[in-house]
Amino acid sequence: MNLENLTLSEVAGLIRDRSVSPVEYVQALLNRIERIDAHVKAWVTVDSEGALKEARALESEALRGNFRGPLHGIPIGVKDIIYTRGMRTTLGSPLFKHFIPNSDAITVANLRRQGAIILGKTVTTEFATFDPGPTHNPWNLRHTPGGSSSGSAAAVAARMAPGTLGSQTVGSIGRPAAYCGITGLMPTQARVSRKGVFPVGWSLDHVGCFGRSTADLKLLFEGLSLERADAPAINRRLKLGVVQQFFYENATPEARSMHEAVVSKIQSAGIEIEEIRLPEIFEIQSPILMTIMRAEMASAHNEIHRNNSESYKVKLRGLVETGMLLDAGSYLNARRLRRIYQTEMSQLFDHCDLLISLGAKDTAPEGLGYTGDPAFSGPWTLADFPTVTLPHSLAANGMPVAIQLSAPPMQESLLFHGAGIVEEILGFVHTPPVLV
Amino acid sequence: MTEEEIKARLRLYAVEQFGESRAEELAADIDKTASDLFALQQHTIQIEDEP
Repeated sequence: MNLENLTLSEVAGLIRDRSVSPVEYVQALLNRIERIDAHVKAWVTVDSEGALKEARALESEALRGNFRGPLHGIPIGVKDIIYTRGMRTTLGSPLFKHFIPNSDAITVANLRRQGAIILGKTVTTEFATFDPGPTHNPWNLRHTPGGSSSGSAAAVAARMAPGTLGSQTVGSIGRPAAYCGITGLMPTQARVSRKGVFPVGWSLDHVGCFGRSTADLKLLFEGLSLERADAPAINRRLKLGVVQQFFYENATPEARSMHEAVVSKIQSAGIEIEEIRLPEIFEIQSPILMTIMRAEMASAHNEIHRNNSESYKVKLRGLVETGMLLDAGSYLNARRLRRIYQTEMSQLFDHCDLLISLGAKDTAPEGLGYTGDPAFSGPWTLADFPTVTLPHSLAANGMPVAIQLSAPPMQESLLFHGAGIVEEILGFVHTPPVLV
Repeated sequence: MTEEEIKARLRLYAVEQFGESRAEELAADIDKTASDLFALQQHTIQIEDEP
């Protein structure tokens, strides 16, 4: 059995029935990291000793029939914007290269309580914003994996970890998931704690996860939130609302044509599809989001920036400093408009169960100087619609392409239910050719 | 305010906070910020005009 090719949900079951040893599994992943991470550069810190020690303890418990939770013995990578007790947390910044938190983020503590093993910290862009880190896309090392959850997405795609944590303030889960051909979840903000996560924008930040299937995301979500997301009782056909406006206009012709083909395929499989019209306020969703983000970033960075502005990378510094120019009235107006946006967008679900949209404008850009455009994820972040990214095909350049499925706030059960059905129809089975 | 007036105001604030040189470096970011604020302003006016 090639252990590193197992999905998170597969290996969780095999550990449960004692077919797979947590120690052997962790060792297999550590071996893989040692073989290939010099090329991918997904990891900032790998805690080999700590992970193996924890694996031995968990294996011993498993052999006695004691399981801490559904994630017992599962190694997880944690985005380096999220605090881990006793493990270096750099926030993607040289200013924090020696920072070691003395407590776990709530999400990390929850995972440990479930029996998960913290394998290490994955690369984040600087303070989880737009200036790229060193990570390469496992599908083609000349391409970006996206950001800001660059390392988390690349680690899962390259089979160095079965699941990882990420965060999203605009498109930092959806975009890397789409670019790396894996599944990604941005949950409703209130469902997963942000305590112990360095903020980008407090009202916009979401903590989420990456895996290789909807089942992986559901297991991770339940571990992060300590809440169940069991399938809802629905005795009718699922109905998807296709969002063409904005997305079709701004996608490349190839991305658009592939999306149309996928929607047809889903419809042919018996899912009801209806085209959804966006409300007028959608026209200003990006200005609303960016105004809020700038102001909140300025606040979060107020102290650090004062004595360290010269060490900030270009895009980060620009966002923080323009945020410092905003007055309270502008920020409050943006927040007010966001409430109106959320109310009007929620009405889209009067016509469908879930929304389906393109995962990204195009495949992952070539080059590592740019993490790609988050424009297709921002609308769902601003609306606080829990969203799953599902890969569906490879484009002509061999890079993965994805869809997004979005649900009303707090409806993760419906989201996983629908995503599971659609995922089976899509049937994506490709693996990166470069580092198999 | 027009978009140009918003831009001018932001540039003035940038000079006050960061100095001339840095304000110049921030020009493109300031333009984008002004564009966003103008868009929000226009939509707010529209909402407030509605009954």
